[in-house]
Amino acid sequence: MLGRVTNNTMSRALLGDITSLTARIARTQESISSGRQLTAPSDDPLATQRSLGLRSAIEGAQQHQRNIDEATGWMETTDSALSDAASIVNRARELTVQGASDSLGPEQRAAIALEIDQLVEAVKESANATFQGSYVFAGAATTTAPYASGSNVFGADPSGNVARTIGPGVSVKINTNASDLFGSGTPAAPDGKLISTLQAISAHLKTNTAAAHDALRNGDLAALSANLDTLSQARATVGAVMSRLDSAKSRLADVELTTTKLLSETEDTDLAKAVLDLTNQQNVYQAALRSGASVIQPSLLDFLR
Amino acid sequence: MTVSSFFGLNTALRGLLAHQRALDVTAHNIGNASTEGYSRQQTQLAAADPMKLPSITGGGAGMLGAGVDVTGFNRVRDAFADLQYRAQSMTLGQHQTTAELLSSAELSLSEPTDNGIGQVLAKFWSAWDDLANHPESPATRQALVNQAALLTDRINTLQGDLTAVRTEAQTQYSLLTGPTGDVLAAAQEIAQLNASIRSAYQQGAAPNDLLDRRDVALDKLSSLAQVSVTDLGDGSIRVSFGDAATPLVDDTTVAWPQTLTSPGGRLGALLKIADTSAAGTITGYLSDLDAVASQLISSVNSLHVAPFFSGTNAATIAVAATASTVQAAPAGSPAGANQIALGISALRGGAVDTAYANLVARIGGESRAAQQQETTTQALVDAASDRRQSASGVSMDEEMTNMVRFQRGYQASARAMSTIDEMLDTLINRTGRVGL
Repeated sequence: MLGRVTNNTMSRALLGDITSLTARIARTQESISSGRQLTAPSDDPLATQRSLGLRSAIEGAQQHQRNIDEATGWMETTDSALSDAASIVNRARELTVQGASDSLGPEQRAAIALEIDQLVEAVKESANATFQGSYVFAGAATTTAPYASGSNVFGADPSGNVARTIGPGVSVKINTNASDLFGSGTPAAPDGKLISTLQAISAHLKTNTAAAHDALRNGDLAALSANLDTLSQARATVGAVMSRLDSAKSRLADVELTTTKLLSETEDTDLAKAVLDLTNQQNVYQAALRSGASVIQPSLLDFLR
Repeated sequence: MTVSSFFGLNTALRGLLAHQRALDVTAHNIGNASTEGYSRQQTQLAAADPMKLPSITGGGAGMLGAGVDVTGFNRVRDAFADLQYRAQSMTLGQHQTTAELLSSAELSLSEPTDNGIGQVLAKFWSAWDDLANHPESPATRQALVNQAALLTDRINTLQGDLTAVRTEAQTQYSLLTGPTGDVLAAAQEIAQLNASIRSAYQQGAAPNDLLDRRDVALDKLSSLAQVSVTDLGDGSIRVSFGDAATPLVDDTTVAWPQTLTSPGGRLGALLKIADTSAAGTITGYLSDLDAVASQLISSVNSLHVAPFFSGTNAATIAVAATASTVQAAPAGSPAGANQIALGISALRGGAVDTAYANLVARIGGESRAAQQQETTTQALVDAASDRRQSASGVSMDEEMTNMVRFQRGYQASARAMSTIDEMLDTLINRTGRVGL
């Protein structure tokens, strides 16, 4: 304890205390008005480091959700094109069964053949489906139409993969290889795929012989069934990827939510606590001012006459 | 032996004069109550040499008091408190300056906010994801190039800001140590005061107020660097400053400028921050930032076949690719291929992010440490200052009490004088007038 306490000691101590109190009040006030308890890295270096990581994780989760939205759109386009193709196959089967009937005359078969030819065009249209301007069945060559207009030959390179990142270090292939499904319609070298099958049916309908009718009844119907199976398999794969995307998205949304909560706990002011702190600090401040005023003012001078 | 009739008058006069001096000193103390570095003074009073008297009855000699003497004016000062104060003041100067400069360094980070490099970097990785989603689109390429330009711009700016803090420290150091700086001014004042104080001592006077002024100058020096003082015996002092080779002040000689390497205090902090070698504080941050930049350049460029970034460090990093040369996939790949974009977007949260977060934590941690040390040392300086004030400070109550004491003493001495005067009046005017 100090032996002598002088006027300067008291005013210095009072001034020092009041200054540090005002600084603390200003700090609490700032954290309330800005809503942030972390205003500079030095406020809490470790929390700042954590907050940088959390912010990056949130941005990542948001971006991956956007990636998934893109991928889902792509898959939905694929699925609806495949579903169109499946209904085309079903229609072709009806027409084939009808055309194989012995009761039909050549003109009627020719009419059915015309409809089958139209179905070939419809398959090519489905295969040329686009999502936001990209051909979904063209492999990585998303700017090349799988079937150029007037051509029955698969024109794009189907080998390339199109992938999307759906999580940290996780990417998923979203394109379906159309050449496996639709194939190239070259009558000289049939490949047994959808377009080729439809072309064969059309040719058999136009050829008015018993052998052709047999082919319609046996080989063609079987080939259509095989095409439908392939399509169904492709749709099943698309469905599986879509459900994977869905679950990844809901997981990412959870991650975003919890990370945002964690970030808020790290960076944001606990308002109730801050307001309580502010009230306490103001009380102490007023007490300091009051005691200061009563200590500083009087001296022996006031009582000497 | 008889005593002069007027002896008592003289004794009373001494009392009057002594109390007048004491009141003068009280007034001086009150006047300087708020003067920086002022030490309170005390009037030293002592009984004057007494007069030897033989006893009236012829016995042993007595001593007749001859009143009071002012033997000097004392300066109340605790030299040990000065030492303590200066040691703490040096530490405070060091931490204060460090905290101040580091907080401007961390402000240039603007973390953690949506505008900091951390967030810009996260958005840069996202731009690669966007490119992977739409490799055919020129718009996403342009957006990616813009985001990359923003990132390199922020890194360049941070590099510039940190360099500016280092330059600022160097400038402050040059100002303080330069020909118009505080060091030279204080040193010259001390040298002049040394001369005045020595000559005052030679004339037998105590130069209290000059000593106070010299102590103030030493206090100023002590916040700048480590100061040690040697008394040369004749009132003058030798002052060693920091790790300067020759004493800054030796009697009346000033040796400045000199080279300091690790002087402590404010200058020490400035030198450490301004240091351009690897040991320098800011230089350390800059090399960490360079590491972040070169990590970014090498990790992106190694995936992107043609250089995406140009430059090698934080100052030179720039975007070399344009919207038409950005590669989502190796050259010759179909339009929808995106292997490169996928690969680069997978760098998110990797070494670059970690290196940057570590840099932010390092700057924040060192800034926080300096701030905490500043607060602690401030308390120690306050305590040392209180201790010094406890010895040297002027207390108004004490001075008022003294004033009343000396005033009463003066009044009583005057009363003694008038009593003796009345006695003499009886002797001179009334004696021998019997029957008149």
